[in-house]
Amino acid sequence: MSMAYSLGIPRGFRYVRASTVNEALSLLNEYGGDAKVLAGGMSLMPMLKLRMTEVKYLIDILGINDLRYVKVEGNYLRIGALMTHGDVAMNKLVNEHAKILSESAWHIADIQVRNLGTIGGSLAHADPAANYYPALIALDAEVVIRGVGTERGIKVSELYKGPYITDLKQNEVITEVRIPLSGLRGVYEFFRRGGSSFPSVIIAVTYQEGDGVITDSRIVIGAVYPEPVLVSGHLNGLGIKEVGTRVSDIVNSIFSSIDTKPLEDTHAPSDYRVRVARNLLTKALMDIANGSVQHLRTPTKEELIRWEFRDGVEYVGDLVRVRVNVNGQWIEDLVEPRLLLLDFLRRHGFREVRRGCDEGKCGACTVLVDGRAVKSCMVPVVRVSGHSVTTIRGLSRGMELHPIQRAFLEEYAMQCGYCTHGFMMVTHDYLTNIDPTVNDDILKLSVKNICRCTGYMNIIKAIKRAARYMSGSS
Amino acid sequence: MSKLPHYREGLRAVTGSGEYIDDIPTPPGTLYMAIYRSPYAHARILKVDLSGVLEHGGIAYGPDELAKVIPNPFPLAVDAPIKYYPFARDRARFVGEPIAVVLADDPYRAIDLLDYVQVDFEPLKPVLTLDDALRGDILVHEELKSNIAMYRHMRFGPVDKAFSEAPIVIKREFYYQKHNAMPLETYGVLAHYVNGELNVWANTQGPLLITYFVTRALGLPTSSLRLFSPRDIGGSFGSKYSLYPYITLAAAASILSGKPVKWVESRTEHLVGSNSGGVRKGVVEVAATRDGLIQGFRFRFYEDVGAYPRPPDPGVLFRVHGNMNGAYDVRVIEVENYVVVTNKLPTGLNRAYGGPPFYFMLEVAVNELARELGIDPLELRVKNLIRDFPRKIGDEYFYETITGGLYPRQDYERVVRAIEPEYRRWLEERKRNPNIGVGIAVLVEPAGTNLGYTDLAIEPNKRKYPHSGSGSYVTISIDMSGYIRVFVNGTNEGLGHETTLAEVIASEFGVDPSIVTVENRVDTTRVWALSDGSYSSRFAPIVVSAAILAARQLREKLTRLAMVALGTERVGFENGQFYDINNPSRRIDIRRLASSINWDPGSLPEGSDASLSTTVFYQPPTVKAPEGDRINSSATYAIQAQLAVIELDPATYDIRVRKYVIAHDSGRVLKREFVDGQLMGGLMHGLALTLYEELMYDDQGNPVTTSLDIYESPTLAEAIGMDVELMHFETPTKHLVSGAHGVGEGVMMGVPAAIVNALASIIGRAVTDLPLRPHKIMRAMER
Ligand SMILES: Cc1cc2nc3c(=O)[nH]c(=O)nc-3n(C[C@H](O)[C@H](O)[C@H](O)COP(=O)(O)OP(=O)(O)OC[C@H]3O[C@@H](n4cnc5c(N)ncnc54)[C@H](O)[C@@H]3O)c2cc1C
Ligand code: FES
Ligand code: FES
Repeated sequence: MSMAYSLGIPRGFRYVRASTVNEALSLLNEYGGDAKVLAGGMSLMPMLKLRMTEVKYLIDILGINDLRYVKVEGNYLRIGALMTHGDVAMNKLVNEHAKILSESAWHIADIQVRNLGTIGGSLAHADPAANYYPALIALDAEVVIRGVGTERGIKVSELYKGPYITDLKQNEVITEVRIPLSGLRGVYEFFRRGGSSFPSVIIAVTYQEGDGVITDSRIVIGAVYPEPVLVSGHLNGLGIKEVGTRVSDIVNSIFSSIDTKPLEDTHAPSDYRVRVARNLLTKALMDIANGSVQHLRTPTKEELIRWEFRDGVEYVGDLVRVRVNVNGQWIEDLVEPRLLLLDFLRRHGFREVRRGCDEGKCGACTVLVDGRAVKSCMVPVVRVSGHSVTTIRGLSRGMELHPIQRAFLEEYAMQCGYCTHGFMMVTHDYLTNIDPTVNDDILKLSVKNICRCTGYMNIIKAIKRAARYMSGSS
Repeated sequence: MSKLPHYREGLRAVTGSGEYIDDIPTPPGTLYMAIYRSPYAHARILKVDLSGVLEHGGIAYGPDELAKVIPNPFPLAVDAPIKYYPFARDRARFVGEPIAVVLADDPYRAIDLLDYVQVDFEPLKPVLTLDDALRGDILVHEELKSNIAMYRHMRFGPVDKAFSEAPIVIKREFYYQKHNAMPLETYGVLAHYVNGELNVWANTQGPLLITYFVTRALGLPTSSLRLFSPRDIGGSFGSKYSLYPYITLAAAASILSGKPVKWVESRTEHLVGSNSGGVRKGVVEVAATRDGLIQGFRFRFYEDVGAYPRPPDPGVLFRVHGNMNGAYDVRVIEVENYVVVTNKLPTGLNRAYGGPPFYFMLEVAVNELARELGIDPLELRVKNLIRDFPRKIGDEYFYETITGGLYPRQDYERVVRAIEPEYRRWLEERKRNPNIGVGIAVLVEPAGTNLGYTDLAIEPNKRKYPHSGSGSYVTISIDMSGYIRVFVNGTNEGLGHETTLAEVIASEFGVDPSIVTVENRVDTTRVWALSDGSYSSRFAPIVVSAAILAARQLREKLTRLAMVALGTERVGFENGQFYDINNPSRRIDIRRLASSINWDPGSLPEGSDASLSTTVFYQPPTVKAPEGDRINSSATYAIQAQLAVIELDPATYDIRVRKYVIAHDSGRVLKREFVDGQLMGGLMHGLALTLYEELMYDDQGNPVTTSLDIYESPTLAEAIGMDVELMHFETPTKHLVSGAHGVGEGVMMGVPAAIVNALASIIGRAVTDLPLRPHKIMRAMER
């Protein structure tokens, strides 16, 4: 029996790239069960690093820009499978046509995870607590799945077969998520405990109404049972106000109709989970009845994050050649494909980048890759070959501090200093690309790095001060 | 742009130039160590086969090889026939206990090689809970013949009389969970044994007793260990004191391989194999009059220290020995302490060591007394506060507690009343919103540990030697350009010691801090005391006192040299300059003086002392070895009051902190920003343990908390929207040269009680089982 606790480093694998869907499919076919596609890597990399799974071949598909789009076409909102969570959250079209999907994406992890993680990857990974499933099922969405020479569309509710199990065959990939523009409106309720990553309860409710009467409705309960539970049509025919007056009957009858055993984990025992689900469903229904549904007010944008494969993948024996531009200087090396960007940077003297965890949560290792915050412990360096990486030393000019550095120092936003670099880097992305005004609600959904010393108060002040400096109003 | 603040450690942090353990350059030929750890909570080790590692090009050492170079167990603080080694010899006693080490020239490969370690085990039934342990049918250490490694029963004052005559006695039971204050940086060691010298770099918390422990286990003379820490340590909170077993392992690997050996712990290892506070079960009884005058406290504590009573434990029970009456004038105390072993991770220092479990139980019990008597909890506390400090020692007056503590004089009521306006305001708000809860906690914060308190683990008549370690060395010298150089054998875990010392010493000399350099790191090739290091908030009361004395002594020396330079006996000093009192225009500044003496000591008249260096050892005056079972367990104590305002979410039973007020009198404030930082950091640590963090085990003794996600550690997101108010009072204490008490731990000591009491104000009962997971609240509301 081998039980390892020295974790955080994946076992060896061979890294290959696919620039088109067909290439990815033929590589999957060729390698059989030994291969997996790597999209954002925000689920697969932690599993590899915690040695919960092993692969011989990782097929990097992040550069298939054909799979990054969002458009309204043929009565569907169509979303390419490689659209990042960050884009799903902020994109204008998604916000217009599928607000609860955008909301579900805002609740995923933090900026760094949202910068890389993809909607297709999340669905393929099928975590029972994944944010998207309840939203997409409530929106009656479908996925498009391609195999070699095949293409099929199935409902998202049918894609999910159980925790971490989907209807996907080993040699298929998800290429698109499509949401019918049927006029379903909705509410998304979410409960996550403390600093845990995933939610313990998700409630998504969508409905259509005509003349104050509900004509169609879909209620989905996520993270509570081994699969998202859909209750369809339950509110049909009820007057909007009636939903409120009969709320406890409705909630009772919904939960008594479910005979699946609820999930139980360290965050929440099963009876508690169900109770919270009932309470949140009650709240959602009351909000609908009272017309007091509150959506997150979040910034939007149109352009999508793209990802280019640069440089080829050149093997020398088992090692691969990489070339990364760090703070303006190209650094070349021959490395194991599994070498993490974090260790690459540290080995090359960028010791300001630090490791604080094995699972990709703490954010101490955050750097900018092409200007976006990324956790360098979650990215094999070979992925970013040809790209540019920025650490704090790339932001300051000689001895002159960058406004973020100055703000952190002026607010005494550190004690041991171990988390500081990661915080400054994520702050840079936050202020540049997400929310220069530092709205508390957006900040709360975006920056979730861990500091064990300061209690965060001064870091929050520093982020706000940096925002003032960067907008020129000091 | 305005001038940057003077904050040396902060400047390193923002420029990314800090130097942590993993940044220390490795000597050529360094091997990386990975540790094979027990997958069983309790098992006999039948066979260890390392041939697979060798076949794959690695090096490995199992119990047999390790035992050759680690011949001795670590010394223990309890009098029990238990042998604690840094690895399992023939029996594994917790999941994560090291059994073998693997070495490779690359850290990734070292981890891979763990796959080839083959160990045959005979699994045994584990002892996991306190109840299991007390039942005693399965033993963690057979030699012990039970699972109780220590039992001490102590009575102070007329206990029986007080409890039998009291009109009311309330009794509450408590459970405090296992948790780790968990620094963001994990453990790391670089060990190199060469020519009979053991060179070790480690992110330890100070020189402390590390040399004593490590050399004892390795059978080496204490003189052979050269221990260094990097300039920066990524947090410790006590946790890194328990690094010594791993220093010993890495040293053994270096001795066996003849190579430098480096090990950096993974986060998962940190959660299962480093350190934690213990589970504590407590029963507290409070005897009182009907109008709320407390007559006595009775405590029964069961402390689960895991698989081995690892020093400094069971100090966790005695750290508060001198202040078991809290802030109250109560002179009757009975305490029964049990130290229990189980098949879990051994415990050790953890921020606020001993304070959070103790004050959690005391301050909830006191609050319950108030609720039971229908007296306002704040008024009940005020009524019982200490007011008279009759005992004079030196220039200061003290209240001497029945257990031996010496509280310096402060106005306790003023500090407690300071939170009152907010307290009343929120009680009003509570009338409008029943989901608002208001709770308080009052405590004295002990600081500057007296290492002698661990003697209490042993019956007085069985103690061999007295102990009262507490002091610190500080060395100050002046170089040839007049720069003042300070050296402290301490560590920088983020407490701002360099910056503070530079400011304090600059002000003693009347110079700008920029001419003061501070080295604050472990280097046992220089002078150090076994009590040196960063723990128990001892910096402000003790280290700064030593530094001030050293500065004054050096100034004395300089004055004498200035007399020579100025040719007069009457020399004055101001703003960094010495002058002739008879002719003040004749002056010489420190830099000029130091320079001339450095370059030309031969010009001094015979018999004059040309040394420009001074080392002071400062032992706080009230710290002495125990007398019987009475001890002044800390150098000083400071009053603190906390107010927690929470909001209970009726849909999720989760708690959100709306407002938190901390009022305290910490004596002289050396640097306000750093004091605030300690309070805010302590608050978050307190909330983390009260609401979220727990090291959990399944029914086979497997650690369940193996990730930060499961640990639920609060992130920046959890801190948004919390309104924190800090109220400082500043009464410099006269018994310490610095005039300052400690500030690093008090807040964490009070948070659990303040939050539990706030919740009790909403749901009408105290949930006394930490952490306050929402399902527990849900169930308590259903009862
Ligand atoms: C700290 C942290 C917190 C997180 N918190 C949350 C949270 O609260 N809620 C939440 O929902 N998620 C959370 N996640 C997971 C995150 O959303 C992941 O991004 C997502 O689950 C996987 O997407 P990915 O693109 O990163 O996929 P990858 O990790 O690259 O891949 C995941 C799996 O899907 C397969 N795959 C990927 N893309 C495709 C495709 N197009 N077709 C077929 N198979 C594919 C891969 O082979 C792999 O097996 C968190 C992650 C981290 C690190
Ligand atoms: S998130 Fe990368 S080290 Fe923690
Ligand atoms: S300053 Fe120490 S972890 Fe943030």
